[in-house]
Amino acid sequence: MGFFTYFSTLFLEKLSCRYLNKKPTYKQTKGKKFSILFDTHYKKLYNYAFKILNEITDSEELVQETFIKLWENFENVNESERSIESFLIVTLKNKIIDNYRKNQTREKHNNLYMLSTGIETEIDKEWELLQQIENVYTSLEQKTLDIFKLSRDEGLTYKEISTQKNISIKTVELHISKALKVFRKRLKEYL
Amino acid sequence: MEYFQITETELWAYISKTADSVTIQKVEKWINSPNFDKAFFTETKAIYKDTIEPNSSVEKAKKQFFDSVVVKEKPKPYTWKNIFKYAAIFAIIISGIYTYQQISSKNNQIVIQTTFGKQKQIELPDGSVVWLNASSKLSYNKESPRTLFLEGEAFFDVAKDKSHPFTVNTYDDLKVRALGTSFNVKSYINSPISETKLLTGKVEVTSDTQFKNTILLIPNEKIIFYRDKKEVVKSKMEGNENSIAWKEGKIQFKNKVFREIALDLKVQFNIKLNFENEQIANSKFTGSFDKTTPVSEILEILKISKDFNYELNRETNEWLIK
Repeated sequence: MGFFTYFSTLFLEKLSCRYLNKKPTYKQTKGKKFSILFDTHYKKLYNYAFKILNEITDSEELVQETFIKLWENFENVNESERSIESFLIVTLKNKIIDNYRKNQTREKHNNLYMLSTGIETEIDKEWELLQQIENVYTSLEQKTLDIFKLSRDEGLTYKEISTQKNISIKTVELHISKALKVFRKRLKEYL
Repeated sequence: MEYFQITETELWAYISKTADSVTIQKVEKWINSPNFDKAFFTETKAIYKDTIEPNSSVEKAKKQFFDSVVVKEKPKPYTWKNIFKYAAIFAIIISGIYTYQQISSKNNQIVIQTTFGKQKQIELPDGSVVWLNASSKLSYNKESPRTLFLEGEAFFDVAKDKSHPFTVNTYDDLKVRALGTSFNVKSYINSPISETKLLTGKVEVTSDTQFKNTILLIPNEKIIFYRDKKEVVKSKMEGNENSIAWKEGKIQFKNKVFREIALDLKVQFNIKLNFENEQIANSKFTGSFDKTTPVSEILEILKISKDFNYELNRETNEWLIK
């Protein structure tokens, strides 16, 4: 019984240490979460920004800022996949609009100001298009998707694809045509 | 007039720049022919344009991100929100412990405590006499007055009782066991060492957690336990060390580094010495002062043998040694 003062001091020290140390471990898990968020969302967000801005540096910067904003507000965001994605996209959209306005003022000063259609609608439409493309990709058969990507992203000829996949050129063409048909159908209003 | 019909794969190859020369010629002919389907052409071109995936390095972006958030996060632990969070938790723990102590003191727990610059002489129920130095705490249970817990420094003159060993437990889990002896234990929480000095009789120093050996002391020997290295060093006491100076109202040090002297002064005067000069902090001094000597005078005397300056910050009551 006489140990209480003694042990309570010990206990307090240990506990405080443990609690204070808890911060880094918490940060680590937050860091891990963000590492995963980067893997799942970065490419899409970057593609989106790039399609609108047509500029590498600005696109990269705006997406970075978007993730930093999520980091700062992470405690207030519902951790469901859905709400995180919408936080990211809403933030990025706003950043793109801000960036556009900033550039617009700059252009105004350079006497290059032109009338523009509402950037907001354009931006939303671009996002919908991106979603649609993603939908097309997920709806395609894996083999068709692979072959289309080899053509689109890698720039391989039908012949090169046929060698790589060990199939006839005719089959390659069949898959490409299949993919294009789906795109034509799904993207009707955007093309 | 020739009739041209081209397939969508031919057009795709042309637009995606993967077509061979035969196909290119064919498509270009088609474009210039009356059969040219403009809508079909622009549609395919749009698909090509919309499916672009610019090169991006997720890893590079990730690194850049973590580099910037780490810098941004640094001041965060000091935000008020955080301080309150910790403070609240500590308040709960401390109030919990306080209540616990209140209860435990009813259960035969005896605690004797001294503040800065104060000493106490206590006679334990078994006849042993304890001198408790400044800023120290001694506790024991009424039912086992020969098992004590010490935080700080105390001198023990133990009453002989061979069937009941006399044990002093320190904060850093050392056990000093004695039969009939007189010895001094110094074990302050904020000090890097624990020290046991034996004047008469025999003591045994052990620990359940810090080291394996049992260390036996004979008169005029002392051991120092270095907390960071978990190392025990046994040595002979020097000259006047065997008169436990503090007991006689003296602050005494022999060949002691300034940094350690600062700890003694802290215990006695509740003052803090901060060192700006590492060399001075590690230089050794020998001296003997009366406890009533003001700190400024002690520093003034130490200044005679080594070259340093000091300065008192009156707001924080801290001395800066330069």
